[in-house]
Amino acid sequence: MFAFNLHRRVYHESKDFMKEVSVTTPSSPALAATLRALRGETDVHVVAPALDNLWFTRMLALAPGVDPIIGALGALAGEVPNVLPPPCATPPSSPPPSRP
Amino acid sequence: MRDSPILSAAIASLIGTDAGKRVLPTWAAVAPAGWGASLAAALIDAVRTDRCPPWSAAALIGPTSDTAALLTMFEGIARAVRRWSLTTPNDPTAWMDALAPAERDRLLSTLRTHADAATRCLPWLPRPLAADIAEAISNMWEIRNALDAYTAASPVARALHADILAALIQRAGWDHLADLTRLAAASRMDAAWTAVAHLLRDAPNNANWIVEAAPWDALHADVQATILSATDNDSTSICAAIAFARGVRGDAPPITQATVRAFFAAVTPTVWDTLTEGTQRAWRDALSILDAHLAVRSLGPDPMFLAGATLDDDLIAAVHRHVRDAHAMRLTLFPIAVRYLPIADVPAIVAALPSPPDPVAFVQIVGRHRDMPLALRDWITAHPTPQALAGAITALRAASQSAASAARSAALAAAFAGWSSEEATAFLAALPDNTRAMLHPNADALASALAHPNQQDVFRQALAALAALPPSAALPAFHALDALAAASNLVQRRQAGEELARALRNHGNGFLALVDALADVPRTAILPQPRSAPRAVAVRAIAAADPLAAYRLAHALRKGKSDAVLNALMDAPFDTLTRIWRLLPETLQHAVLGDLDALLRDVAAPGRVDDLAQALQDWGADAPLPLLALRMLIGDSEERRAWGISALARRPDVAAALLPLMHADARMLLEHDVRIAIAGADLPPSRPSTPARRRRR
Repeated sequence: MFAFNLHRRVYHESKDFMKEVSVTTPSSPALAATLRALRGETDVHVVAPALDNLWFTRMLALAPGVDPIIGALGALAGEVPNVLPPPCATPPSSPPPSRP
Repeated sequence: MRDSPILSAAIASLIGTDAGKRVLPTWAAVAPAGWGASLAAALIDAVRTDRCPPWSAAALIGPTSDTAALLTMFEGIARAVRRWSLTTPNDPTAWMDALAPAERDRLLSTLRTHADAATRCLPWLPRPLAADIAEAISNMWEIRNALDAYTAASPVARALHADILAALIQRAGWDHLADLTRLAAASRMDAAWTAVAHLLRDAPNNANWIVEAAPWDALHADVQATILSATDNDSTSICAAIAFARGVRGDAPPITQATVRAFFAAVTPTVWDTLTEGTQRAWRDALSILDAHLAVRSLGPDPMFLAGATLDDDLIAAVHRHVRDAHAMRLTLFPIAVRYLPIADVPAIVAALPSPPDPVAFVQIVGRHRDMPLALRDWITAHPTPQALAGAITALRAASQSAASAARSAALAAAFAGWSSEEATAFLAALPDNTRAMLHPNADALASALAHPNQQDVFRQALAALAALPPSAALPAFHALDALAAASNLVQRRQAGEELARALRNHGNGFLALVDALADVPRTAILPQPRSAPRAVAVRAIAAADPLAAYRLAHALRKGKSDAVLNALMDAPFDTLTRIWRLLPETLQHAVLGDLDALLRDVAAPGRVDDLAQALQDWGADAPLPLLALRMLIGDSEERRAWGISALARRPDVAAALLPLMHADARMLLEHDVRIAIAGADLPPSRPSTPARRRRR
C-alpha cells in the first residue's frame, strides 16, 4: 500500500529518475562517470560512481587519456593493481576533500 | 604510484563511501606499510558501516590491539597477518609484538583451530605453532596454501621455518607440482627443484603443470633435461609437445587439450615462425581462452591471442615479459577491458575514446575474432574513427550470440545511429559470412523459416522495405528476425518478437507488414490476436502507431493480468492511453485500478475523499488518465511513481483541479515536477504529514 511515510525517499528517487529519463544519454550514473573520466575528469568524487562497476573500473585503469590518479583508483577498484599507472606529474585540479 | 601523496589523499577521501569499499581491499594488499595509521578512526568507522572489510582496515592501519579487535573471522585474521608480515620481511613475526598479549593469543588460538586459514599465513606464525599446524595438515589444499604462502614469504621467513618447509616439500605430491615449481622459481631452493624433478620422473605426463607454472627459462636445468628426456615414456605426448615446442623434436605430437597447453607454455618464437600457417592455425584454434595467456607469455601480445585472453594477473604478467613500458602495456591490455563492457554501453564508450594506435587490432581483440578477414581489415583501415569502430565492435559483439536481447537491440540502434544505408551495406559486405548472416540474414532463409506459406512473396517485400530503413532500425530488426527464426521455444520467440517491436517502434507500418505475412506460430508470439474483433482492430491501430506498446498490450490482454496491463500502459504513448483503456475488459480495468475507495483514501486530503471522487468523475471520458496516474503514484516501483507524476504533469488542468483535494504528502510528491508546481502555484504551500498521521497509517 501507499507508503507516504517514505515520501522523502520517494521524492528524491522520483526526482532522480525523472532527471535520468529527461536526457537521452547516458542513462546510468556509472556510465556517465566513466565517460567523464575518459574525457579527462580529475575530480575523484565525480568519477566515484564508475568505481562500483568492475568492468568500468578496468576501463579507467587502462584507457588512454584518463587522469593517472583516476586510472590508479580504477586499477585498485578493478582488482588489477599490477597495472597501476606511473606516478602523475601534476596534482588534480580540485584537491581531494580533507575528510576523513 | 603507490607512494604518491596525491593518490594517498584521493584514497583517503573515499574512505566510508561505496567507491572506497571497492578500492580499499586491493589497496590493502599493495599500500605502503602503515599507510592507514593516521586514518585509523575513519577506517574503523568504515568497517562499522560495512564500507571496508575488517582485514583491509587492519592491514592498512597496521598491527595494533584496536585493529586486532576488528578481526573476528579466521579468514580475515590470516589475511591481516600475511599483509602485516610482508611489510616486515626481516622480522616475520614482528606483528605479534605490536599486539596486547590477550589479543595476540586470541588471534593465534583462532588460527590453531582453523587449519585452512592458518596454512595461508604459516610462514608468519611463531615457529612452534607453525610446526604443530604443519604436522596436522590433512589434505592437499592445506599443503597448497602453505606452499603458496612460503612462495610469497621473504627469505628470512623461509630460513626461520626451514625444517617445516622441508617437511612440506617432502609431503607434496604430483598435484602440487605447479605450487612446488612456483616456490622453487621464487626461492631458488635446491630441495624444491629436486622434489619437482623427482615427481616428474615418476609421472612425466604431469610436465604440463611445471611449464604452465613458470616460463621455460625459469626452470632448473635438471627439470628441463628430465622433461626433454621423457618424451618416449609419456603416453600423453605432453613431454613430446614440449620438446617439439622447444625445437628439440621435429615431429609434431597430436594436438589435444593437454598437449596444446604444454606446447604454448613452452614454444619459442623461432619454432612458431617455422610452422606453416595451417599448423599454426590448428594449434591456435585448439587453445582455450582460459590458456591464452600461455601463448602470450611465450610469443608476445599478438592480437590473435589477446582476442581470446582473459584480463587477469597471469595475462598481465605474460604481457609484462614482452612490454616493459607501463604506458605501452596498458595500451596493449586496454582492448580486453573494453571487450568485457556490457554491450549496451559499448557505443557510447568506444565513440568517446581517442582513435586507437592500431584500429584493426583494437576491433580484433574487442570483437574476439582470432581471424580478421582481409575485407574487414580494409574496411577498418578506411574507417578508423571511434564512431565507425563503435559500430563495428557492437555489430561483432551482437552477432556473437543468436538470442535476442534488449541490450543488443539498444546497442545496435545506438551504434548505427546516423549511418546511411550505403555505409551500413559496405560494412556488412566486409564481414565474414556467418557474422553478416546474424545481422542481415538471407531473405530466402528468413522467408522459409518465418513466413506463412501463402505469404512468402509478401514477406520478402516487407523484408526489402525493412532493408531500406535507417540502419539504426534495420540492423536490430534483422537481428531480432534472425533470433526469431532460430528460437526453439515460446520464451525465445516472444523475446525476439519484443525486440522486433522495439527496433521498429517508429516504423509501425513496416512492423505490421512483416507480422501480417508471418506463419501462425511466430505471429502469435509477436502479436497475439485478441479474441474480440473490435479489440483486434484496435491493437492493429496501436501497432501502426507504436509496435512495442501494441506488443505489450496484446500479450497483456492475452494474459489478463493487471500487472502486465500496467506495464503495457506505461510503455504506450500518452495520446493512446484512453484508446487502450477502452480496449480492456471491464474486469481487467477494475483489476488494474484495484480498490478505488482505498486509493481515494490514500491520496485525498482529510475530509475530501468525496470531493476527490466527484472531481475524478467530472473528467468523464478523460477519467482513466488521472485515475491511472494516482494508481501508479501509489505503486511500489520507482518507475511507476515517476510515470504517475509524469502523466499528471502532461495535464496541468487535471493536476490543478486535483491538487487542492489531495493531502500534503501527495502534493509534495507531485509538486517537484515544475509543470505541476506551476499548475498549483496558487495553493497554500504543502507541508509533510505530521508524525501522528504517519503513525496512523
